[in-house]
Amino acid sequence: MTEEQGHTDGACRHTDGHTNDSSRTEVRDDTGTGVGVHGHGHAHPGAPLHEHPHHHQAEPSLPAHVHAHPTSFESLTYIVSPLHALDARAKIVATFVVVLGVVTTAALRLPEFVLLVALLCALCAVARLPLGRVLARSASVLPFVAVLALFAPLQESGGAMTIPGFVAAWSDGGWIAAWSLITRVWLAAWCLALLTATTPTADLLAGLRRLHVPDVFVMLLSFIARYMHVFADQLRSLRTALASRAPHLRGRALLRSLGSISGNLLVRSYERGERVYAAMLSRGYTGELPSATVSRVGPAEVLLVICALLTWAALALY
Amino acid sequence: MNADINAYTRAGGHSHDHAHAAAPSREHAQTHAPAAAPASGTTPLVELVGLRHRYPDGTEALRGVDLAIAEGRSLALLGPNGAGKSTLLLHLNGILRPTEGAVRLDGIDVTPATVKQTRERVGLVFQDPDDQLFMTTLYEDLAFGPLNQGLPAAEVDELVHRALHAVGLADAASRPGHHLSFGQRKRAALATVLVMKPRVLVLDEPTSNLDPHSKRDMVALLASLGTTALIATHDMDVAWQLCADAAVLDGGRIVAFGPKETILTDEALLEAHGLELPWAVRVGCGLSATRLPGVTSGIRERHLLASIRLPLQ
Repeated sequence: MTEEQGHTDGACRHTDGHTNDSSRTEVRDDTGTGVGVHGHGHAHPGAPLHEHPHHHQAEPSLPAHVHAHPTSFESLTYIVSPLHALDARAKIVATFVVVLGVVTTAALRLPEFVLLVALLCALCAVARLPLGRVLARSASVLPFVAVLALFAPLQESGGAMTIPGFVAAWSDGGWIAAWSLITRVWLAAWCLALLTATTPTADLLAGLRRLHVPDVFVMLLSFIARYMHVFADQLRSLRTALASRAPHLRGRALLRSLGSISGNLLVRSYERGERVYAAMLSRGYTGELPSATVSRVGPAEVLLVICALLTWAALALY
Repeated sequence: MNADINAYTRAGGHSHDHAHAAAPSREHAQTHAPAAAPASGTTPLVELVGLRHRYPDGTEALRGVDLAIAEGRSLALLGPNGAGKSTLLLHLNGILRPTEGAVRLDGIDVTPATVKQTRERVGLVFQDPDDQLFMTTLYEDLAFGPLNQGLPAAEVDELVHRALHAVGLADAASRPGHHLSFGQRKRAALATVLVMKPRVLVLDEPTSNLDPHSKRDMVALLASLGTTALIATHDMDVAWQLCADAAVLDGGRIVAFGPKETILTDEALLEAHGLELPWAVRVGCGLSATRLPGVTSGIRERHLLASIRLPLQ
């Protein structure tokens, strides 16, 4: 699938300030026609191999590829690696299988845990991902699960809230219950972080659609992905407006204005929803989401899913 | 600027004198509206007949609008905030239904039965590009319309490719909306409609919030299209540059309609409806010796002074 070609610089100009004189190695991954969305994988000194997908081969007359190198998590999906190149559907299925395997086992034993961590680390290495950023992303579930883990021991000992029960819980199987909850949720989050770091949002959504996830869900997810940033911008400007008019707001007054901010956001979002729907209708929307993406399932994709199934089997049988 | 002045002087050379130069604007409403239809005898491409719209909360946004756009003409829809411009635009492709009156495209009423073909022919571009770019990537956004028309994927790809090049965004095809600059998003929103090859372009504030450079690009892009267009705008200069005709909407009624040389030089009319003379006209008023409809010599001198003083400050 991936055709390695040595390209001299100049095939695609850069505007990022690294006018790299050193010959850039390019990996071309397209249909060869020069038409359609494609990217040219390339690496600068000090940056991983990555690409900026675009629609057409760069022409001298066109503006140079904008080379923003955003610091967002999403930018990791521009990295070029064997894992990034796999079909989104295979990655979604494999992730689903491994997550299911992890969450349905009883408490993970230490060797199991260590092996799973090693597996995920290895995958991160194959995907040329910075391990720290993926770990940081997966750790974002920990605050939530930590709260739950506090209460898990109580359930373990039959839900007794008495002081002796509480103490008993922590001395008995309580630690194991907490450990089991935290590790399993964290590993599941790591799997998902790996999936989202190796698959662009658009591919992920197209993959879900082609896996016959109902259109309504995919559409909802795509709107979340698209309007999350718009929503965040609105929230930021409302908070700035609040801070500039009432810099010393505290306590109840602050809570009250936060309430009206969220009300304001709700109304704005509702109105935006109506306008977006009008824009969809204007372009012939009838309730079905059309798709123009093409399938690509090869041996590598099948292998990935089989490996995921084996991981599940190993977890279940161990 | 020079071209504008020339265009203006040429237009001014007709010297069709209006006796009521200083008359109040209501008078203008009655004299301009019925008389100045720029129709060339054939059926207009878009026609609004006695259009009224009342929102569910009782607000009457449109109170009897009659308007016609001939094929190949571009019309600027001007008016203060809250005049009913957006409501009017939403009627043109059947998003809103008239409470009374009719919208006709090519002589055919827009009804639930014909609304699908209407939407293929009328390309509506919203003011906020974030409303228009709702898919995950720019490519998908452009492909949305043609795919809904049921075109095969290869043809859609070709159409998207051409539209992306037309607006100069070929390199941004797989970028999501939030990774584009505001100017790029504005152009992308236009492309999502151009890709459907509409017969009429309906644009809501195509240049609002753009920096001068992006605005100039957008105006050049729109000028190069040459399709029938209805452009709602507050920017009088854009209206002057892009449109052949102009209509003033206020309080849900068309108060004036005619060639831009008549409407956009009528200072009393424009002032009465929260608008102003285009910059080109102001400069032209000062430079041109020709007496223009609606421009008294006092106004001319004032604007000449203003136009000279401003660059010196």
